[in-house]
Amino acid sequence: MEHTEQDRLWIWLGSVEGIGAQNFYTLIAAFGDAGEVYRAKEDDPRLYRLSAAVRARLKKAQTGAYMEALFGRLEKKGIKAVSRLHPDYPPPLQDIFLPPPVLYARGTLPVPLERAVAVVGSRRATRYGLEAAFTIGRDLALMGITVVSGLARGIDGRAHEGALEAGGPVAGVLGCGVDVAYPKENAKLCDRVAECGCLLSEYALGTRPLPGNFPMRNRIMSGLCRAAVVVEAGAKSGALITADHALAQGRDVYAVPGSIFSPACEGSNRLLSDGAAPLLKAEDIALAYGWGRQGKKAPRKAVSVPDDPLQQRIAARLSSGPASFDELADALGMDAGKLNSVLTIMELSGIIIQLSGRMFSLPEA
Amino acid sequence: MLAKVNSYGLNGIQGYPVQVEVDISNGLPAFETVGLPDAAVKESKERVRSAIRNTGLDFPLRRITVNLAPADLRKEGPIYDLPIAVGLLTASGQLPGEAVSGTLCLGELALDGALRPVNGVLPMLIAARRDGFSRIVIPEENTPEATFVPGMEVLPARTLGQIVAHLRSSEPIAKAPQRAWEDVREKDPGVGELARIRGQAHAKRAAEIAAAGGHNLLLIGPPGSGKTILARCMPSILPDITFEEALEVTKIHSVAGVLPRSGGIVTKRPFRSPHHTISTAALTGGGRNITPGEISLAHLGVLFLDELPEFKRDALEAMRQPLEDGIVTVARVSGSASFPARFMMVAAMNPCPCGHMGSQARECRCTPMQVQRYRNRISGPLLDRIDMHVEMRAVTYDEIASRPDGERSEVVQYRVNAARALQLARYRDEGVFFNAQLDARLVDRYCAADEQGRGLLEQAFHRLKLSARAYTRILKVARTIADLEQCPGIGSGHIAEAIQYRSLDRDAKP
Repeated sequence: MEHTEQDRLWIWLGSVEGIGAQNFYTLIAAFGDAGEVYRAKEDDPRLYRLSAAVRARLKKAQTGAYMEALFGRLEKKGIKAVSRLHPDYPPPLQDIFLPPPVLYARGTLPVPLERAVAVVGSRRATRYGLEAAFTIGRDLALMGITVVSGLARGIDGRAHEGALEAGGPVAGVLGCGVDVAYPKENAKLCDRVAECGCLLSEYALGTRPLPGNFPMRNRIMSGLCRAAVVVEAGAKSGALITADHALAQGRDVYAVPGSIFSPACEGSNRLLSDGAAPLLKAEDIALAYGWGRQGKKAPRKAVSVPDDPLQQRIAARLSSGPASFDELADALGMDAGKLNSVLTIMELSGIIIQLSGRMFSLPEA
Repeated sequence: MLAKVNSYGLNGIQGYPVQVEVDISNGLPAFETVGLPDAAVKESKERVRSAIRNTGLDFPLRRITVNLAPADLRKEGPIYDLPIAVGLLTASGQLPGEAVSGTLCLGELALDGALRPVNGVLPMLIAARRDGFSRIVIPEENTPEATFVPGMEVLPARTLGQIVAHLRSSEPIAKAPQRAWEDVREKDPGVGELARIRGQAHAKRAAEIAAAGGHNLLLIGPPGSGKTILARCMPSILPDITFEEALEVTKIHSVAGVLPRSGGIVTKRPFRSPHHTISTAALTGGGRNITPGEISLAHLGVLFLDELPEFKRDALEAMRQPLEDGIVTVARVSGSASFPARFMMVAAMNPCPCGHMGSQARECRCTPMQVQRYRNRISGPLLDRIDMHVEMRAVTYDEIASRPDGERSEVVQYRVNAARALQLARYRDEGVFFNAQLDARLVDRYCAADEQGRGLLEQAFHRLKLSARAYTRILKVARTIADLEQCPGIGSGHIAEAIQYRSLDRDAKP
């Protein structure tokens, strides 16, 4: 990857542990340029705003060997780093508050952001929320809209899974180094996002997922996009921080309506009552911004229609919503053994799916 | 003078003959017991002394030596009180020398000369009959379990005095009448009656299949979904216990001292449900004097493990070998013993730590990680020994109230019996009795599905992401389903149904 001298110096300064975005810009303001910081003497009074520990690390980093090791490591792991001065740096981030001075990326740069939407939500989501996240992620991607999310458990991960199923543009923003897998169960998902799109983080390689990182990471998610969709958020969900950032950055906020009884939807419903736009289907976003359909047509899944009359009756019963095994057995007047046998066959041919608790339903639209 | 009295000892549930030798010689008054007696046997001399005196007989003030032969096996418990007392009386000339030969004696003495019941009478009796003995004196309270051994004359006694009178032929004890199995066997009085479970058609069907093929069963469902009540119904749909089986179960229960005082012989398949805090030794057997554990008490019956993931891991792992072999061997300082443990395991667990996953009434907020961790507490090898996993759903009040009663246990049991008969005939030469016992080789031979069935199974593996261990289990369960229909071959319908009983092999969907 091509880097100018200034670029390299920015990446160098950003890589020093303890120099976050805030410190970074303070130093640049004081010294005028990252090169001056690189050459600064240990007792330079302008460094005294840093803590002693950070000063010591900075001093250790002021060597050619450190510089070489830093870029060597990036190269070896195939990770790109772009500073704000680089043309591949995402343009929408330039004008947010405290833009990350350096972004690390695993995957394809530049990220296509002309049409991008962040889909976020709670980690502890309900089935409804997960289904909504998957559908919205998939439908956005089908319209060629980049789905940006945080790769957390729950909603974030599902939104990406939906987008990936549509093969559509995706970008993930992490609260740890891009080479750190967190949460572990989403490690595979991270790899797929890096393959089909890009994983971004403002944190240096190897940074662990500290709790304080995530609210800051949220400002990047909303900053990258034109709008943020909160799918499901409890009263104190981190997704609400993303919504706040989005508003502060002049982005639009959408929320998916949830049950008024469910504590899992309290935050997202509150957003609606505060004036967020309700999101009923992904197309609404495309319409609002005049984004015409791009590329792929939505390949509606062919709904398989059974030819067996018994299977037709079961499918008809499920068209009004999921049903339990007992309800089906009663409705059809069948004994359990026969019904089990038919259900397996329908499941295998993709006509129905089985949910936990022995509930059966038609596959999600 | 020397006297010999025959008695019996116990190793595990096997009785072995013990000869109690009593020698009275001149010397300073003393009482020595040799032949590896434990504390209860050593203390026996104090009980014997008082019992003899209080019966109005003489306790010889001379040197007394008691030997329990064979001298290299450890003798336990108070059963030798009576033979020692009888030997002492014979040796001191208070009883005629020949009176006691050919008669076995067992029993604990009270200080006033009364006889107290002891544990393990039935297995000792069976062994004694086999060894050629035909008359035994036992405490009256042990009579119920003792009267089922054919050819054995049982003389129940209440006091030492009665026995002395009997042996002096002055006042013979009346024989206890033999009882026949047909007189005592009874139908389960409806503790578990399948008809009382409303709804849950799937789970009831699974219970029927499990009973028909002897498959171990894992019930997964939220609290209140009826897992326990279904498990309690299992004994009522298993084939009725036979006399030979009843004797074997009674033997174990007799050794463990858990026989009901009234009935004497076990007439129903046992149902044991140990609490999940149980220790390994209590589950598999152990203790200083080795006693059978819960898995042996559940022999030929049902072992119900509620809240399976809460059991101590090493306790569960210790069951793996008995689940395979149907027998458990326990080694302790005092020796080692084998107990039969061929039981059907019915386990129950919640679907997730909070218990409400998949429930319509309550919301589950467990993360997939938490659910995974909870389920991982059950090790793969243990799960391998459970053929059927069945998900149950919480039933609402309306459903309970509005549904009619279901099929009665008897009706289901009739079908189970028919399926079992088919299996017995089929495996006559294989040394197994039901489908669950088939190993990989026998599955290949007896559980071949037809073309369509194989295709379905292959499709299921890819589509439902079943794990590899599901393969033989599905075939075995399909075999049982076919047996219930009296079908010689396994068709695709049987396979399709069997796939539904492998919930845990699927990816968990919220």
